[in-house]
Amino acid sequence: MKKIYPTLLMSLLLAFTVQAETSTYRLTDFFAGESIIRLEGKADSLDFAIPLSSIADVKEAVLTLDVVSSRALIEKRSQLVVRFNNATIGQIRFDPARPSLISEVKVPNALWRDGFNTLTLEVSQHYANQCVDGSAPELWSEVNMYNSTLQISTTNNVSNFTFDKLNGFFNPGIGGVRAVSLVTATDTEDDIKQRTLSLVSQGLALRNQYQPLAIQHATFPEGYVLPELRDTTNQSWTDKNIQRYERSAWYTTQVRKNQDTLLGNIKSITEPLHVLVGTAASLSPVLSDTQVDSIDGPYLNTQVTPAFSIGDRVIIPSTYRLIVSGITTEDVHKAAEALAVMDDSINMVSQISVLSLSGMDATRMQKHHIAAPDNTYTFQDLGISSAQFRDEGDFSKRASFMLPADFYVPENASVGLLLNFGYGAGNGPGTVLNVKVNDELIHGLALDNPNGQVFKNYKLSVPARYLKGGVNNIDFNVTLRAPLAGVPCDEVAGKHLVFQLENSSAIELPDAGHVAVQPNLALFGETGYPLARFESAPASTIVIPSQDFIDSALTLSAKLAQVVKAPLLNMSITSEMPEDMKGSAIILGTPESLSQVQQTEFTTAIEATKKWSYRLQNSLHNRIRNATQDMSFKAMKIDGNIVQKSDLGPQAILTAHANPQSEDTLFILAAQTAELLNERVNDLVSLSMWGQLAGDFFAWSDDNSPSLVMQVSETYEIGESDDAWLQLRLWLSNNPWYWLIGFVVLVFIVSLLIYLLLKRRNQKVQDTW
Amino acid sequence: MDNSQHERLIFKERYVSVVLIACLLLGAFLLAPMDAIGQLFASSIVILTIGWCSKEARQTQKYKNFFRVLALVLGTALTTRYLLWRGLYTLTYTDLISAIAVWLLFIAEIYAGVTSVLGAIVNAFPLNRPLLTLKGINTEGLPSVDVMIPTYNEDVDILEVTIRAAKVLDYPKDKLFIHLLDDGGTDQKINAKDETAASKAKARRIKLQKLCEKHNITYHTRAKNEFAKAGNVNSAINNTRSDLIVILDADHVPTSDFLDRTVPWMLKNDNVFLVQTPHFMANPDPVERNYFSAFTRMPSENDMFYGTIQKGLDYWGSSFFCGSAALMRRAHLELVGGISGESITEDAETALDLHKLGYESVYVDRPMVSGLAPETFDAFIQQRMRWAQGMTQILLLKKPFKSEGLKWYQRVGYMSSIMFWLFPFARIIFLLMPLAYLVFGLQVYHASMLEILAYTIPHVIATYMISTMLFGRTRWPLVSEIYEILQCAFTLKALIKVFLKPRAPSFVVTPKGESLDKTFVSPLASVFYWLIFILLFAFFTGVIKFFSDPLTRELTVVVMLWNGFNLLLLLSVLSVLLERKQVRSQARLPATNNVVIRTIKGNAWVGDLVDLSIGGARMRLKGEGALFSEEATLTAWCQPLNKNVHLPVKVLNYDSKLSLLRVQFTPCTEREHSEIVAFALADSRRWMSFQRRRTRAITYWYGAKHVLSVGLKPAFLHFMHALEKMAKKISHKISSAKE
Repeated sequence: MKKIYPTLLMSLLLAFTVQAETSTYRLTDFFAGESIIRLEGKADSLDFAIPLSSIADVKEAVLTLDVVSSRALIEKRSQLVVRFNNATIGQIRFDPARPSLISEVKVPNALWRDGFNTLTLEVSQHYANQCVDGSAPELWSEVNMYNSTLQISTTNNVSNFTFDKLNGFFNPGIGGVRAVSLVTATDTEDDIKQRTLSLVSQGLALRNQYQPLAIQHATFPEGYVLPELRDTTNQSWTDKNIQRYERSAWYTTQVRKNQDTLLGNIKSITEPLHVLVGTAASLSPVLSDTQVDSIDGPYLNTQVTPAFSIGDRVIIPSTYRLIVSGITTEDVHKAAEALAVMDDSINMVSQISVLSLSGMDATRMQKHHIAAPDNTYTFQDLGISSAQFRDEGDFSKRASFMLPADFYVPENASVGLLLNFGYGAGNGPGTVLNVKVNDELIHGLALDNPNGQVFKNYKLSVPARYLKGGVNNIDFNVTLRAPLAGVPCDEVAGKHLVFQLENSSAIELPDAGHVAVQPNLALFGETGYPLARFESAPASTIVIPSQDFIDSALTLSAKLAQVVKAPLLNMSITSEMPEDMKGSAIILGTPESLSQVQQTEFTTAIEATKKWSYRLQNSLHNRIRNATQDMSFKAMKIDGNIVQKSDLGPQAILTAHANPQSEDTLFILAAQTAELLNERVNDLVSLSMWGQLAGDFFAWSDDNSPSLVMQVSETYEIGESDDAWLQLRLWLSNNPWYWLIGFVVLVFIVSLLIYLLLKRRNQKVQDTW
Repeated sequence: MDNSQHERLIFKERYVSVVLIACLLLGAFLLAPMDAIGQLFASSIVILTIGWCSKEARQTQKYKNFFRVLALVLGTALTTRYLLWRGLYTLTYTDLISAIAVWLLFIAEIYAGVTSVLGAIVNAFPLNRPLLTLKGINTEGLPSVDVMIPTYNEDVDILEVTIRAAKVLDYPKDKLFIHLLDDGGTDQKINAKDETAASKAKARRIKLQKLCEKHNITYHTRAKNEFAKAGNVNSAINNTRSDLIVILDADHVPTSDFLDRTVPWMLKNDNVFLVQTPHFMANPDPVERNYFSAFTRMPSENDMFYGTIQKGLDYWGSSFFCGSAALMRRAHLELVGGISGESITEDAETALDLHKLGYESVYVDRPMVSGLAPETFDAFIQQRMRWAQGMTQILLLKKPFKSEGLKWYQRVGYMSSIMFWLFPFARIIFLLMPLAYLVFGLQVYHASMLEILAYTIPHVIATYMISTMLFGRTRWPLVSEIYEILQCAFTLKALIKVFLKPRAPSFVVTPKGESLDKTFVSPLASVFYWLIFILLFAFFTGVIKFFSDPLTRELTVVVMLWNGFNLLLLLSVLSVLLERKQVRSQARLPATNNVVIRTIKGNAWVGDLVDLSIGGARMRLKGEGALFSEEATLTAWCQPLNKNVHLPVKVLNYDSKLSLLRVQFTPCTEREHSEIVAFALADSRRWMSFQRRRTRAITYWYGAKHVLSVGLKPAFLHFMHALEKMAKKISHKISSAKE
């Protein structure tokens, strides 16, 4: 025993005193605005947040700023102050002789906090020692946010892995994981592959919030082959060593990727955390007997597996693992459901046996964060906080809320905004409030009462057409200006200025139908529609031609859950092409595998032979025409197709079509090979690319920008099938000719009948003459 | 009822059922929901179709009536669709005041829609009757006729012209009896407590008695002035015996063929109680004179009613009595106790009573009576207030919409005529409603720009297109709006009084033959100044709103256009309020007779009349450079008298460049006086020709352009007039200060 404990302790130390992980981030990764920001005037500042995972301990952080300043700034009084969580960590003097500078600022480790850390870049800029005009155009400096970086070294601080730490691993902040492996037995049940893996992926991705999470699926071998103990000639596979080996996550070095043939490459899992999914029986080769015995229903467990090392050599490193298991596949699924919805922070334990789950209604889950039409919500209900702006400057408050993706209102419907806000006394000229809805300016108000003013239920009636399905933003842009002193070179300080927007403000939503125009990849990207809907949660499928594509499918389902902000309980992954393709589906594949899909009705078809719509050609042609401004050749507007035989090359293509077998949408996602598709799916779910989804034809070959985005197919509507009136409205709106023909025929009949009646009467009158 | 009749009735019932079912289906189609883009597309096609149909309907071709009906059904469908959309989707409000404003506007629109649909029914198939004559009918069998000329306070000169014209009516003299019904010289008037008034009444009675004696006609008066004109006529009816009765207002001069063209309809059908003819106005009303100055070029106000609507009403057996220029059957009148007097529009009321009894009316579309329109705006408003009040009284007291005895189409006809007079309510709402939005910020019209384009604009365009198709010849575009705006403020007040006390209004005789010896601003103008001020204020508020409220810019622009249109019309009506000086006492109307001018020395010139009145004439002489003595004789063929007349004239002026000679008639004898009246006023062919000349077809845009182009100049004149007035006041003050 005495020998064992030092060895175990050593193993743990070796495992967790791993070297710090160093990452470099561009500041644009934390900032949604322009890549170059300009700070103007005598004083200006910019705040942005840097998230940090709770499991990460910062060992070192260096901020590198790429700054350009105006040559007009005087040296002693112009500087850039860098603050971190309100503490000044650097002061960079602007030098007119050296207007372009790159400066490094060390961020003290002690200043870092879990969650969001505020980095403030604040400038004071002067072109003279006295009488500086605050609005002078030469008072500027620029920070290149793309070139500016944060280099940060972190270590993992988790020693006791309980569920409350799960949020630290799956966290959008620095230190959170960006990829995870789901490990199952080779012969794991189909139900787990089809439903449960997807749900586990979604549950983990939801913790990652907006940060993409690449999911990989791997299988562990049924038995293990003990590795050779090279360089440890004095050691041999004793029983004790074998027991230690079995307790470790030995399988992480021997997983296979290709489960269909069992011929796939043996790989190692490199991520610090992996998830074991399966029934107790199927997981028994990798779990201890005690643990297998403790599984008596839906079961969740977090563990730190001990490292297996011989001497100084770590053969199997220590890992964090999450176990999702149960006696039956249904138990496993239930455990996955619990994982998807549970609140980690209150579970400071490492093992949970789920006894029951209620309220797991797919529809309710999908709409819980969506503002329902014909309701009034206060900002507080929508999770929007109050805002208070102080001092002179430009401020903004964004109120974001989700509407059903298929939010459909008549032309004249309006949304009421009942605003509660106020401003203090002593505002100067130019103090204004502007309100924008989805970037459309809807209201402006001069805050010009010298004594200040408070508004309660200040009503703005906004046409509902300004709102859209998905995320809607209401921006309150406030400019606070100090009054004019009226004396040259004397200014009134703006410390007294205050504006306040209360979260008791409300939004009145009109009644709306549930219909959306399809195909629309932008809507799909923003809301997951039509796979996730407000009114119902129909079964949706991701079809893969073989298990080689499961990583892509899992990553995609995880991303959709992030988009929907809820698990998609009715989503499944199948490797068999359903004969009757009803509802919404995403079909993944290569051109060869997609030949099974009937694509003759589609404008574009990706098969061994590809059919490209002329509209794609038009777009290219017209884009060149516009770019060169050579109007000597006409804009191209022709319809037709090119059928060609070729590879897709390095790019992937996502298309959306009307499902020919039902009133729904079919997505096809293809790349030349399964590996390439997985790479492209990882590109697609990245923050930069997912937001660019648009049209119904989307091609890309990296994670920067799409190579082509087009609307190729004719649009159609899908939505409430039970609302006949709405259906009629849509049908007629899309086919006014039918209405017109019917109308004209009826008018003709009525006119003819009336004419004959009138003529008859006229004849009768004339007969009396 | 025999079998064939019964079968016909069943067939008719089934046929009407089919029509109703088809209409219901059409209604369901109009209710069908469709987005604004689809509606806009459909509306555009419908508008184009209406344009094509209305064009075809105005051509002389076999199916023109079918195209007319098709255009009317399409227009009605668009109006119905618009009202359904307004009612179902746009009546949104947040507070009580908004609710009131929203509903007021919608009610006004419903009113406009209903009157438009009723108008479409009434005018769907105007009846064109042939011209009948008594020629060839044995005079022995002709009915006797009493021509009644009721008078209250009209000048003797006016009356004498009417009497002289009545005397030359082409009808057997032994069967024609002319009566002057004097209500200004009743016993009640003569014995009035006010001695001045009493002596005036007495003098009037004597004067009129002498006039009657001179012309050998019967003078009538009565003890009391009860029931105004109706009472006066009824009193005479009790004291006369002829089979037929002609009622002529004091200023209504009949042409000689009046009885020749109307009596045959009485002979053809014993069930006919009324033969109405148009009122042809020999002088412009204040709007025509002050605003358009185009009396001889554009249709008169009543051309629309007499040229189109009465023909439509005639088709539906509901043309009604218009107080004068009508032939009535005594037997039928006696059945309802003579002329009805419950309302102050006794004429329409009498017709309604007789229609209810199943008797028939006939409308002969030939101007055979020329009358005088009110000269001043004041008198014009007085006349219209009486009509509006009277028709509303009929609505409230007689309820024609549910009168027993009336056929459904007669009810439609009466309701169409009566509903029209409720326009002040709607017009005031349309005028002031933009203020609710621009000034008070009430959103009274809850629609997007696209919806306005898809529903409102097509409805408005279709309404104007249908209006142009139906009334294009007899009413120029925007003229109706101007008349309505002019009357609305005053008639609204009068209508409210009727609604409060339906029996209160009393008959007020419209002043006619007033002289306008100088240009002045009507005393009624102040209402319009205020309205213009308010609308201008709304306009400027709208401009501010446009910049301050970007969210509602689209709507603001639409409402400002609406307000601007109202403002333009209001500025236009200012010209009517500027009462222009009238040079001649009698308006000269175009004439084309061949004439010969002969001087005392025996020289003679041949020429063609250019215009003519009972005061004088203008003619273009053939031949060059002529000198005239001051006195001459004009010789011309007088159709009413069927002979040449030789009329003494005084030469006023000769324009040798244009060969235009202006003369004044200088009759010395009774015969000459009568011949002048017969020559100048008793030939209906001249009125026909004149009317045809001014009821020509024009394009909508030409008419609208003309109306608007002449409308803005007066705003400037009003401004100048106000300045002049102010300058006079200042100079007066200065001079009194000096004194």
